[in-house]
This record gives sequence, structure tokens and C-alpha cells, in this order.
Amino acid sequence: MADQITLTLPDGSPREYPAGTTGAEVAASIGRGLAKAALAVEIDGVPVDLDQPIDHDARISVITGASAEGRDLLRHSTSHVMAQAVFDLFPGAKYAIGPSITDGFYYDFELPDGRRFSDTDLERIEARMREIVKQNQPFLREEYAPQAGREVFADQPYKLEIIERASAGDLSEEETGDVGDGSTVSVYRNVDAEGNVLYVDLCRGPHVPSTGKLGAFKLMKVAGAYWRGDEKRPMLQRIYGTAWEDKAALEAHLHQLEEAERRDHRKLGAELDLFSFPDELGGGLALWHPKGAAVRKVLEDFSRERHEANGYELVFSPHIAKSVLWETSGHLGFYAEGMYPPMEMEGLPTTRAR
Amino acid sequence: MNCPFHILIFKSHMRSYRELPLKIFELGTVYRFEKSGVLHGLMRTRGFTQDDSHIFCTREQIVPQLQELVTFVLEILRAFGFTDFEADISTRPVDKSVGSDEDWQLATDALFETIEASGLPYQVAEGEGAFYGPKIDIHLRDAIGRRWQLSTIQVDFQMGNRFGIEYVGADNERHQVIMIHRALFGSIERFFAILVEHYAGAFPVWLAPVQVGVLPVAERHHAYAHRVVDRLRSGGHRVELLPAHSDTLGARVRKAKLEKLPYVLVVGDSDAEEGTVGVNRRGTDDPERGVPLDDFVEQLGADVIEHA
Repeated sequence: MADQITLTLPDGSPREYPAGTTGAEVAASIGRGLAKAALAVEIDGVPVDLDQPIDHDARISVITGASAEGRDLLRHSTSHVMAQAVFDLFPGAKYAIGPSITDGFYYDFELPDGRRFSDTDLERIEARMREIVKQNQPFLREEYAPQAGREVFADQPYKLEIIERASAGDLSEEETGDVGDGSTVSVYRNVDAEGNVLYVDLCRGPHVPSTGKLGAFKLMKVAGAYWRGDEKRPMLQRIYGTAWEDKAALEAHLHQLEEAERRDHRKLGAELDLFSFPDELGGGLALWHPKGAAVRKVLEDFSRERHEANGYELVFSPHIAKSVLWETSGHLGFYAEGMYPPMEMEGLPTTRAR
Repeated sequence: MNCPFHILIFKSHMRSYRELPLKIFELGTVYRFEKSGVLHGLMRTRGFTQDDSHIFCTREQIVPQLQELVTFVLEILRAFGFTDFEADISTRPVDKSVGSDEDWQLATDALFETIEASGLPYQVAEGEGAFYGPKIDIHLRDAIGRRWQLSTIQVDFQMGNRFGIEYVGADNERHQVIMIHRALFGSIERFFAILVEHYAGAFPVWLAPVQVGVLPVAERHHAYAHRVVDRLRSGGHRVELLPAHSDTLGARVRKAKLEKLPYVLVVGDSDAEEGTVGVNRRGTDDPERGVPLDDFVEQLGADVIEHA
């Protein structure tokens, strides 16, 4: 191992450091503001905890909250804090996966006796999460060989299943966030000031250095979700939340959600009597009421008039045709799953709807 | 998925270069079997109507056609009040593609040139084009800053070959036709949903399902109110009368506001005598009283054609 390593910053400038320097130390060497804002670092494009020693030359950049990578990290760490709060309030709970998603995160749980989370429960969980953030618990990473890793999660069946399937190479995209390729099992613990372990999770990481970095979050709702999306497996309870780099960003997001709900076309469509989706038709098929139809007619007339003025020729064609037509066009090759199934009628060639 | 139909129309007789570019347009209803979990109001349905166009052209016409297309698309979308656009250009995939290097270069350069000339901000999706040609997607931002993909302009070097589409050139030789697929709104249903959300249900006058509500104060004003309605309808406007017996004036005004009518006309004694109307414009609190009906009709007409 070399004594000195060269780390190249995003602007291309190289800096020399002793081998074993951590991302936190690199950030501190650049500036105090950066050190404070640092959540993790990227080493050669791979996100890594701030406390991991770096032992080779690499490109390095510091991840802060106001970036896509930073928010992703905040959300994932917040989901851990949420799970910790759930275990504190609901002893005997089992957990599955808790990834970050667009604008937020979720975690899936199974409560004893088939109990379900209520809105009051969410409030209590959120309150407990704020306490955990106040305690500024560090996230500590440890690597295990798979067998030892299994012992850590001996009483958590969903985590065990993820570890098993990792070694078989059979993981969903969200599950790889937990174990990567499964060659080792990485575990994150949250501890208190005395070093007592308050929470353990199976996670590839990285995480923010401590819970105090979190705080601009809100729990949104609970939904049912089948384990692995499989109706034959248990239905877990998915708590959704949103998390951002600061209060202002969180408020802006919540405001955006409110606005979007206010404008939801399905709600307005019903209020303004524009269209409906009666059950009698089957899913995804709309009836346009006279008021909706009046707008649609203006839209279509405008479109037709503009097209004709621009040299287009209007045509009409049928909604169905011989399947063979789409074989020639190559559509069946790409879109077969999306098309309605072929219709067979006595004495006629196989027909499809377009 | 209306291409095969449009191609058959093109192939219905041997085409000369003089007929190109041939631009075919249809509001074509198609059906897609989407899973229940992904259906979403009018944005994702199982039956929808594409504003589907196919342009059949020569190699030399690709560049001007693409330029015309982008201009046309933006002009139409601007008519709805959208001003914030972005483009994604998808270029030649690395492994498999059909079409000569020159054709790909020509079409891709044309797409870049066109987008740059339009001044739209754009991103390049390297290698994300279809194997049969490069494309542009045009996105817009709605009133609350959400990004929606709208239009797609897709160059196609392959379809001409699959269907054996040719034209007779000036040299009397047969040549392969190049196709450009273009969806502008995407689907009428999805675009309508985007409009509803963009306007929050308050459609501009030219689109509103009911443009004017006419409210006689009392029963004795009905005859005049009917004349106002007839006058407006004869101008091709969409008008509704809310009769006095149906509810109090206050309740009817509230109902019209809830339905987001662009104009609510209240007519009472002085209006019937003087041929005027009391105009309540959506978004304002104070009505304008005693507006001569002729003046209102003129104003309404101007409002409606303003979008063009």
C-alpha cells in the first residue's frame, strides 16, 4: 500500500493525502462549510461512507444534500430511522426492504397479530423519528461473511430471505440496495453515546454519518404491498415518506403535492362533469360526457384545421385488421404484449385491434 | 400504430417525386392492454386516440421536413399557453441499426440543427434512438412546473423497406421512401388530462365547455335573457341559461363560479330596458354593470380567437 495517494477533485485538480484518509478528512481539508455539509463521498463514481479510509488514487467528489445523490442518501438513511422508530414502538415487528424512491422512501413491515398502522401510529412514529434525529446517533458499518451475517438477522425472516437469494443471484432491484452482490453481508448499526446498539439493518450503504444530518422529512401514508409483489406471499405494510435537504425544499414539495391534488384531472373531471370511467365498461375505458366532449371537439377541430393548413391530408382507417399486417410492420415483434389478443372467427383470417 | 394503414394509402398508387412530401394525418383510436395497476384516469387508458401523422419523403426532403415539423409542433402547443419546452434527441444505437451512415448522419444533424435553431434547451440521449432512426421528443412544463413528454418526431429508415414503399424519381428510377412518424399531442386523452391539470379546470374561453352563463335576476327577465342567449349562440358560442326558478341568484352565481365559467352575465330590469348585461369575468370579484350587449359580443369574439 502506497504511503501517499492522489485524489482528483471534480474540477480536475489533484491533491495528495496520506493513504487511509477518510472522505470526512478530505472534505475538511477543502473547507469547513463543505465538511459540515458533507453526507458521503463518491470514489470513482461509487458512493462511500465518510468514515471509510481511502487507500488508492481515485477521483473524489463530496456528496451534499442539495444534489440528486445527496437526497437519495438522505432518504435511504431516513428510512432506517423510520424502521428504528417502528421497532421502538411496535416490538415484534419484522422488516423487509426500505429503499429510497423518487422524492422519498418507504419501508415494508409486518406487525404481530396482523395489526395495521393507523394515522395516529404514523404520527407517533414520526415523533419518535424526531427524537432519534435529536440524539444524533452515528451510522456504523460492519462487513460479515454470509454465514455470520445470517446470525445477525436470525429472527428476521425477510432479511434472511434476501441474504439467501443474494448468494443465488436472485434479487430484485430494490433488494440489491440491501446486499449488493451478496459476497459479503454489510450491516449498519445505530448506537447511542454509550455505544449501545439501538438499531441494526442489512444494507449495502452508504449512509449519512449520523441521524442528526436528517430532519426535513414527513411520513405520508401506509399502503399494502405483497412481499416481492407476489400475491401468494404475505401482504406487508408499506409506510411512505418524503425527505429533503432542508425545510424549504420539504415545504416546496408538500406544496407541489397539494397543488397537484387540487388539479387532479380525475377529480376535476368528475366535478366539472367532463368524463367518467364506469365499471360497466371495464378498466381504462372512458366515457366523454357532453361537457368533456365539447372541449374535445374544439381540440380536435383545431388540430384538424391546423394540419390541413400545413399541407397534411386527413384520412380514416379501421380499428381492426388482419394480424399479418402488424407482422410486416414489425409491431408484433415489439408490441405484442401491449396489443389486445387476436380474434379468431370461423372462416376469417386472424384479426387484431390496433 | 396507425402506420400500416397510412402506408397502404400511400401504396394505393405508384407515387411520383412530385407528390412528395406526402403528409398523412389521422386521429386514430388504438387499444393497448395496460395492467390495471398502471391505469391512471385519462393519462393512461386502454383505448386512446393518437394524433398520428406520417410523412413520406425523399432523402433530400428530410432536413426541411424536420425543421417544418418542429416549428409546427411548437406553434400548436403554444396556442394552449405553454411556453416552457425542452427537447431530447435520441441518437444512433451503438450495436444494431438499419440505414446507411450517411442517412443517419443527415437525419441526426438535421435534428440537432433544427433544435438549435429553435432555441429550445435540449439533452442528448446518446445511443438511445430506435434501431431504425433517430428521434426527438418534446417535453413541456405545466403551470406547476411538472415536465410532460408530448410530441415525438421519429425518423424511420426501415419501414420503407419492409413494406416496399417507393416513388418514381425525376430520373424515372424507383427510389425508397423515407418515413417520419409524428405524434403531436401524443393522445387526445392524455393531452386533455394535462390541459385540465395545467388550467386547474379553468379552461381558456376558446376551450371552455360552457363559455358564458346567462342569469336572469327574476322570472320577468327571462325573455330578454333568452334573446341574449340566442344572440351569443348565433355567434357560435357555447352558452347556458340558469333560470330564475332553479335557485336564488346568489346560488346560481356560486354554481357558475364552481363550474369555472369564463363569463357570467347577470341581466335585470335596466339591462332588459337598455340592451345591456352585467359582466362577471372569471377571476375578478367586481362585475362590470351595464355593458352594452354589442360590446360584450365583440369582446367575447376577440377573446376566443386570441389563442390563434
